[in-house]
This record gives sequence, C-alpha cells and structure tokens, in this order.
Amino acid sequence: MSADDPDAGLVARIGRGDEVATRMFVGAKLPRILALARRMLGDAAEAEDVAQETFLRAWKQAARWQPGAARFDTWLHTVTLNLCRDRLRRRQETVMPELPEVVDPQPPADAMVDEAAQAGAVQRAIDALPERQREALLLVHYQDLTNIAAADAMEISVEALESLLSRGRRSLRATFAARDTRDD
Amino acid sequence: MTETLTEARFIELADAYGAVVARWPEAVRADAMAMATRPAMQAVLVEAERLDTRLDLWTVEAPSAALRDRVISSHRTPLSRRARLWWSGIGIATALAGAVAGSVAASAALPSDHAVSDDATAFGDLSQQDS
Repeated sequence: MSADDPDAGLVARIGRGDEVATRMFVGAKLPRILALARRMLGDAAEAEDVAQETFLRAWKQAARWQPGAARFDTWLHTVTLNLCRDRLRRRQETVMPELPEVVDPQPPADAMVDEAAQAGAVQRAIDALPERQREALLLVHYQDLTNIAAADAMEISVEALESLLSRGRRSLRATFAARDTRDD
Repeated sequence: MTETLTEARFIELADAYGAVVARWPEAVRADAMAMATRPAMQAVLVEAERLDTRLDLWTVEAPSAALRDRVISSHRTPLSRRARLWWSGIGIATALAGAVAGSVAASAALPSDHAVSDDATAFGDLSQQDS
C-alpha cells in the first residue's frame, strides 16, 4: 500500500458505496481533471465528456483498487491523458469542419480583451508544442503533479520528463520573445 | 537517493520546472532554497518566474454545478448494483411478468395466417399499411 497516498482512505470508502466520500472526491478532483482535459482538447464539451468517462472508470476502479506504488490521483491523470490522446488521434483521422466563431453580444472592456488575448496566445503556444512536451508541461505546471507522479502518468522516466519540460519551456520562451518583439 | 546540488544543476532544474521550488524534485528542495539566496541563482529564478507568470495567464473555467451533479449521480447507480437488482427476486419477477405480457401482446398482434413479410414490424406489416 502506498502509505503516503492521501486519497487511499477516500477511495476505499467510495469502493464501499459511501456517497459522502464520493462527493468529497468529486469536489476535490473534478476541477483538476476537467482542467487537464480542457487544456489537452481545447474544447469544453469534449472535456466534460472525458471528465465524466474518467470518473465512471474511477468508480469501477475504486471497488477493486489495490494501493501500491502509484497514487490514485496519478492513475486518474493517466486515464484522462489516454482518453484525451484517443480523441486527439481521432481528430487527426477526420477532417474537422471549421467551427463558427462565437460572437459576444456585449463588447468586453479593453482590459478583458487584453487578458483574453494573452491567455489565447499562451494556449496557442502550448498547443503548438510537440505532444509529449505539452503533456509534461500541463502535468507539472498546471496540474502541479510531482516529477515522479507526472513521469508515472506519462509512463516515462523522470529524466525523460525533465528533458521534455526543458525543451518545452525553452520553446515557449522563444515563442513569447518573438511575439513581444513583434508587438513592440 | 540524495543529489548534490550544484549551480549548474540549479539552472537545469529552473529551466525544467520553473521558479516554484515546490515543483522541483523533493530530494533537492532544501538545498535549492538555500542556494536561491545567491544573487546569480536569484537571477535564474526571476527569469524562470517570468515564464511561469505568463503561463498562469491561461486559466480554464471551473466545472459547472450540472456537471458535478452528473458525475456524482454516475456513482449512485453503479453497474454492480444494477446487476444485483437484476438477480434479486424483484428483478426476476419483473422479467417474468414482462415475458408473459410480451407473449400475449405478440400473439394478439400476429395476423391469423402468421404470414410475416420482410416489412413486418412490432406495429404491423408496413407493406400492408401503405395500401
């Protein structure tokens, strides 16, 4: 048993059908899992589908979970990553129609436009990274997984994770520097 | 396993994990905090923090209450419970009652000559209804 798995007790209770534990677990994990899926897929509806599927699998897994080397949170991230990868792969195999642009009836204030534009630029820069670099960055920076948990979730070594992170961040620095020079 | 932290390694770690030392490998965190007081290493962290701050601009919406409720509900009716209900007396009785009712309905719906065409449906023979 992984004695330092903070979710072990909660997962055992969920496996026994404890509704209070389920609510606590969803409250703690859903925002993280949805955020990862949202950033991986860039689509709110698809991200919700992935989050729901991830939790359905969690309910089944909880009943037979044998705490070991991996934490349950890491397992959840692995499932989410795999579900997102499947969807991204399917997208590449299909020609996606261009989505209509959503028009906001109320023009937002300048500050909001600027903030949204900057967030959009970050999203585009991360989307442009190679798949494994993007995943490593999402897991460590946005999901706050430890290096060991992130490497486990991606099924790679810690050294490989570190290399992906370094290359990803270096690439992002270059992208942002070029953008800032262009905007000045 | 302990790792000797050098300035070169400090720079590598900042390059990979960013300025938040809490995200660095646990084995080096204490040494890193001590080393972070050196001016040269502070400059490294400032540079890493610039990227961290930019990355933090990309926020995503929190889950809606509707999604949260759907996820919680999906645990209330697990497959195992449905399976147990099926094998319970109620499940068997319901199934038997359904089977009897289905037989009666099917015999009542069948035409007297039992001539069933390819267009036959539960609502009758579509080829005959068209005329």
